Amino acid sequence: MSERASPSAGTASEPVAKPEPAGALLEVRDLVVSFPGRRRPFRAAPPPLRAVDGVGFDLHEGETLGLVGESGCGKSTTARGVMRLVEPAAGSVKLRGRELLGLPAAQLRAARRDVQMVFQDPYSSLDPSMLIRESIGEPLDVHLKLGRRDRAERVGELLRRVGLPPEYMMRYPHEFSGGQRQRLTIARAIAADPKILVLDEAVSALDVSTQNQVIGLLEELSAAIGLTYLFIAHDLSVVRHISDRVAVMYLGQIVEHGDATRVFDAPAHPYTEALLSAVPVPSPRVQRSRERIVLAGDPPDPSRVPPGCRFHTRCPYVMDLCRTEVPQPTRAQGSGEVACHLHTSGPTLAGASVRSLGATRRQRVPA
Amino acid sequence: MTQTLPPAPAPPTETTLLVEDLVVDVLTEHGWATVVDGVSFRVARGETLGIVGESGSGKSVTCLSIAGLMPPRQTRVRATTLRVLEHDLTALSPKQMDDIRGPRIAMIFQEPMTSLNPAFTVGDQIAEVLRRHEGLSRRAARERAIALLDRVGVPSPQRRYRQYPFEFSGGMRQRVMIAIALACRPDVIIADEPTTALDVTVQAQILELLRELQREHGMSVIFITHDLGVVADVCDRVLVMYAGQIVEGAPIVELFEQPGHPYMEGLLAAMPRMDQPAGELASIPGHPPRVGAMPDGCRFHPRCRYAEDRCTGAGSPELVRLGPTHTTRCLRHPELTLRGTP
Repeated sequence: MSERASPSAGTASEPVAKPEPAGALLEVRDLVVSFPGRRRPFRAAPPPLRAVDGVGFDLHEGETLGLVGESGCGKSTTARGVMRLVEPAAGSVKLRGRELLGLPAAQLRAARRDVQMVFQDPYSSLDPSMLIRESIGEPLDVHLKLGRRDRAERVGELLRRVGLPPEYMMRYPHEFSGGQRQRLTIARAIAADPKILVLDEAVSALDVSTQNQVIGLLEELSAAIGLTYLFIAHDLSVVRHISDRVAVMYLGQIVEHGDATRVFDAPAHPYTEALLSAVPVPSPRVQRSRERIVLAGDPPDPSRVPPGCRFHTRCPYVMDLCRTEVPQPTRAQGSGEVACHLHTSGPTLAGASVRSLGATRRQRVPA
Repeated sequence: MTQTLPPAPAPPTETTLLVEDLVVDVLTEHGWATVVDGVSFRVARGETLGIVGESGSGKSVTCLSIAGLMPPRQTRVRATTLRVLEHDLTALSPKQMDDIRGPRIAMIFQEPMTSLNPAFTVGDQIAEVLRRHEGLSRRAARERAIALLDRVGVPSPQRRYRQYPFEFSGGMRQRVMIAIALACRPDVIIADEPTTALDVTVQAQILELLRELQREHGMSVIFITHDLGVVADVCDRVLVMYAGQIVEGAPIVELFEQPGHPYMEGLLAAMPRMDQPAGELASIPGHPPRVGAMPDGCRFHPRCRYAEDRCTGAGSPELVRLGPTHTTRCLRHPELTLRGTP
C-alpha cells in the first residue's frame, strides 16, 4: 500500500545545494523480504516464506512514522529490509530519490550514513570490551575520518547531546544502567549526522520512567537536529504518544495507515480496532467500561497465508467475499488508506471507522 | 493443626494467604543485602491482589519467597507469619512445602517456554502434577489433563496432549501453564507477569481466561505486573512496591483516582495513554536505589518532588492508614494532594 507524497512534504531545513527531490525523504514501495521455508527430510523444498509481502510507505522529513503490529507481523523485518540488513527479494527503497536496493557495498555504506538504527536491547548492542569512546567513535571513523582530537571532542559533544557527561567516554558499558545504555546507543546512532533513525523497539526493555526519559530525548533530538524517525514498537500507547503517522501491519502487509490521531480514534480496519481494544487503559473506570473485542486464535502461520484477506480467519465482520478476494487499499476518511472489503462492499463504510458498525454486526469467530 | 475451616467469617472475607513482616536477604558480591523489607499483606478468597513496581522493586522475590522457590543457599527468608489457609509455611520442611505447592498455592510465570520442560510432552507435564498430588492413575490423569487443556482453550486437546512445548505458540504455552497451575484447584495462584511476553490480543485472551477461571473456582490471585493498564483491568486491590518495601496499598479505583504516595502519582503521570491524544509525558527523575545502597529516611526521597529535610533522615517512614483500606508510606501525606487519573 502506498501513498503518493504530498509536495509540501519537506520542512524547514532542506539542503540548498542539492536539487530538492520531489517527495519523501524515504520512499519504500512493494518491499518483499522472504526467507527460505523450513526444509523437512524427504519432502519437496517448501516455497519461501514472505515475511514482508508488498510493504510501501513514505517517510517525510522531520516526521515520526510508527510501525505497529504483533510479533511475527514483519515490522522488524521491514526495517531490516529497508536497511538492507537482510536483502529484500523485491521492491524499491529510495533515499532522497536514490535507489538503495542493488547499490554496491561501498556506495551502500556511504548512503547508509543517512539512515541509522537503534535496537531494543542496549545490553547486547554495545561491545562490553570497548570503551564508550571507541563504541561511539566507530561510526565517526567509518563515515567522517576525523583526527584524534576532533574525534574525542565530537564524542564528548554527542554524550552531552544525549544528556550524559562527556567524562563517561572513558567508561565501559557495564558501568551503565539500561536507560543510560540506550542513550549511548542513540549517541552512536546520531554520531555521523544521519537524517533518519530506525528505532526497533528502542524503549521496550526499559521501565516506564526510564522509558519516558528516552522518549523525551528522542523528541528533543528531532526538534534540535531535525531527525526523522521510523518508530517500530508493539506498545501502542507509546506509539500514539510519539508518532505523527502510524502504519498497522498484519502478516507481512500494511492493513491501514494514516495520521496517528485518526488511526487511534477512528480505526478503519477491523484488525486495528481489535488491536486497540486489546490494549488495557491505565484507568480502572475507563478500562472496565470499555468494550473489548477478544480475537480468537493466534495470528496464522506466515508460511500458510490465508487466501483472500489475510485477516479473514479472525475477523469478527468477515463476509464471503473476504475469503476469496484480496482487498485493495482505499482512502480512509480523514487520512491514509485501509485495505478492507467492508469499505467497498457489505456495509460499504467508504473509509469511515469500523467502530460505526457497532457490536451487533460482530460475530465471535471460533478458534 | 485442624482440618476444619473456621466457620464464622463469610466466604468473601476468608483469608487465603496471610503474610506478616516478610524479610528476604540475598547473597550478593558484597555480602547479604535485604531485597524485601517487612512486607505484610493478606489476600481474601476470590480476590485479585495486584503487586506493582519497577524491575528490582522486590515484587517477584516477595512471591517466590512465599512459594518457597528462592534458592536456599543464597537467600534468607524470614517472616512473622506466612500462612496459606491453616498451613503455617514457616514451619514446613522443603518436602512438606512440595505438598503445599500445587493443591494450595500455584504459580504462573512470565516465560512459559522456560517453565515447561522441553523434553516431555505437554500432556505428561500436566498429568504428572495430578498423579503426584492427587494420586490419580495414569489413565485418570490423562483424562483430567485433556479436560483441563480443553478448559483453558487449547483447541484439539487430544492431539495437543501428545505434543511438545516447542509445537505451541507463546499464548498456547501460557494456557498450558495455566492448566498446570489449575490442575489441583489451588486456593492461591501467583501470576508473575503472566502476559508480559505476549502480544496484546493474546494478552486479552489470557486475562479473560484468568477472570473466567477465578469466577468458577473462587481462588485468590496475586497478580504481579509493571503494567498499570493490566492492573486497572484485573485487580481488586493493589500493593505498590518500591525498593523492597510496600509504599502504598489501596482498592483499585482509589489507588488510581486518589493515590496516596508520590511514587504512585509519578507512575500514573508517566503512563502514556492510548485512548488520549499525546500530551506531556512526565518521568520520575533518577533511578531506583541499588540493592545494598538504600538511602536514609524515605527510600523514595532522592527522586521525590515533595521531599523535605525530615524525609531524608532517621529511618524509613512507617506505613500509615489513609482510610480503612488505604495505606501509604509517606511522612507528608496529610498535607499533600496528589494527582490521580480519571
